[in-house]
Amino acid sequence: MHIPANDRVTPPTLEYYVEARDGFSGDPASELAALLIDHVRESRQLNRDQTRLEEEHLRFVQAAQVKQLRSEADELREAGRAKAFGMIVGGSLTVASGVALGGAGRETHWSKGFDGGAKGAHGGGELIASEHELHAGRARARSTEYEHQAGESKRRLDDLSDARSYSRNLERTAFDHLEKVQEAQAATDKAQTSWRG
Amino acid sequence: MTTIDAPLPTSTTVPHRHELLSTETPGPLPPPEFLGDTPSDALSEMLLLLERSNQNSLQLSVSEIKAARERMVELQRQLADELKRALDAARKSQHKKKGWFSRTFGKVIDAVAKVVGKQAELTHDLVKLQVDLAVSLGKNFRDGEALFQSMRNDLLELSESSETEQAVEGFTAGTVKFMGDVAAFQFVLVAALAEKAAQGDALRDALADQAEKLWHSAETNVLDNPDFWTVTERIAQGAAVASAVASGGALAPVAVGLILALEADNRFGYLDAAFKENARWVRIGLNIAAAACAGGSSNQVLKWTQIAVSAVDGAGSVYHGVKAAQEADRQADEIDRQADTQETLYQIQETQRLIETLIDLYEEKSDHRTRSVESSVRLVEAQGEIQAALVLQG
Repeated sequence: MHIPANDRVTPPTLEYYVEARDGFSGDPASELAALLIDHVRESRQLNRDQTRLEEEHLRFVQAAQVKQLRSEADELREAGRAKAFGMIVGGSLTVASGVALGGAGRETHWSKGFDGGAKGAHGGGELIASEHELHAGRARARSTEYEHQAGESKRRLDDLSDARSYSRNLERTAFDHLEKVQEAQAATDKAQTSWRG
Repeated sequence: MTTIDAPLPTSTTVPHRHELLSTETPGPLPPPEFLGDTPSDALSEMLLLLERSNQNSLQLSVSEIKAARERMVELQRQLADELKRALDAARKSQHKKKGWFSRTFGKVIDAVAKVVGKQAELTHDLVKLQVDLAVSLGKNFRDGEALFQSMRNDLLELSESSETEQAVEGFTAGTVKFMGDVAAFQFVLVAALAEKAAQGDALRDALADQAEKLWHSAETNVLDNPDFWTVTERIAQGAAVASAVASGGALAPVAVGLILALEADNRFGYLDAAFKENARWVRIGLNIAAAACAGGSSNQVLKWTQIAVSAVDGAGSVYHGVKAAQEADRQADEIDRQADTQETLYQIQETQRLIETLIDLYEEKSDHRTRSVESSVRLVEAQGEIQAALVLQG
C-alpha cells in the first residue's frame, strides 16, 4: 500500500493562518491550542511516514514468507522424486535379483550384486531425499519466522493507526476551542460596535 | 456570495492499481477554473479557491477508494478461484473406483476373511499359549497365587483379537477381492471381444472403464493394503526357514536355531535384558546370520517361492516408489496452493488497509472542508454585519 507523501490534509501554511495564530497571543489556553495544532500537524506527517515505512516492511516480510513456502514445496517435490527414484531402481534390482536366482538355480554373483545394488539404491535415494527434506524443513522454519515478523509489523501499524486517530481528536478539540474564542471575540467586537453606534 | 460550481472530473487521476499512486500522486491541486461570475472582492475569491481545492481533493479520494474497491473485488474473485482449485484437488485425490466383484461381494468376503483370520490366529495363539503357560509355570513355580494369575492372563489373551488375525484377515480379504475383480474383468473382456467382433468397434473404449476399475481394485486390495505386505513378509520368512530345513545342509540347524531365537526375542524381549543397549546390534547380527544360513537352499519349490516373493517385493517397491513421487507432488502442489492463497489473502488485507486509510483520509478532508465552509460563512456574515453597522453609523 502506498500513501501519497505529499497528499496533506492540512493545507500548507499561509500568511493569514500565521496572523490568525498570532492573534491568539495573550490567552494561555488559546496559545496552547495553537501550539497543539502545529504539533499535531507535524506528528501526523511523521506518523504517515512511519506508516509508509512499516507498510513497505510488511510487504517485504509477507513476500519473503510466500517465497519460503514455495521453496519448501520445491524441496519436498525433489525429496519425493529422489526417494521414488531409489525405490524404483531398488525394486527393479530386487526383481532382477529374483530372476537371476531363478535362472541360475542358486545364488550367483549376479543375484547378490543385484540384491546389493537394490539396497544401495534404496539407501542412496533416502540419503538424497533426507537432504532435500532438511532444506524443506528450514524453509518452513524461515517462513514461520517471516510470518511472526509480519504479525509484529501489523501490530505496529495498528498502533500507528490508533495514534493517528488520537491526534485527530486532539486537533479537533483545539480547533473547537479556538472557534469558541473567535466567536466570543466576534461577539465582543459586535457589542462594542453597537455600543459606539 | 457567489455559487460554487461542481468540480470537473477530468482534473483527477483514477489509478487502476493502488501501487500507481506512488508515481502518479497529484502535487498541488490544479487551479480551479471559474465558471460563472467571478467574485469581485479578494476575500470571496480566496474562499472560493479554498472550496474548489477542497472539492477536488475529496473527488480524488473518492476515485482512489473506487479503484481500491475494484481491485478488492478482483482479488476476492481470484481467491475464490484458488479455493475452488484446492477443493477440486482434494476431491480428486479421494475419488477411487471399486471393482464390480469387490462392490458386490465385499461384505461376504470380509466375513470369510474374518473366519480365516480367526482360524490362523487360533492356531498361532494355541501354540503361543503352551509356550506362555510353560514360562509362567517356570517363573512362578513357588508362588501359587501368582501362577494362577499368570495362567489366567495367558488364557484371557487367547480370546482377544491380535495382529496376526488382523493381518491374515486383511490379506485374505484383499487377495480374494482382487482375484474376484480379475475374474470379473476376464468375463467382461470375453463378452466385449464377442460383442465388438460382431459390431466391428474398437475394443479399447469398452474396456477402458473396466481396466481403470481393475487397477483401482489392485491399488486398494493389494498394493495399498499393509496386511498384504505383512503376510508376504511372513511367507518369505517361512520360506527361508523351510528352505534351510529342506536343504539338509550343515547350516540348516543353525539357521533354524537363529530364526527361533529371533522369534523368541520378538515374544519375550530377552535380548534387551541380556545385552541392554547393545541388544539392537545383536538383533541385527542374528538377522544377518539367519539370512546367510538360510540362503543356501536347493529345494526347487522353496526356491521358486523365494523368487516369487522377491519379485512381488520388488514390484511392490517400484509401486511404492511411484506412489511416493505422486504423494510428494501432491504435497508440494498443496503447499504451492497454500502459498498462492496466502499471497492473495495478503493482497486483500493490503487493499483493505488502503481502503481504510483512504476512507480515513476522506473523513479528514470532509471534516476540514466543513470547517472551512463554516468559517467562510461566519466570516462573510461578520463582514456583512460590520458593513451594515457602518451604514447605520453613516
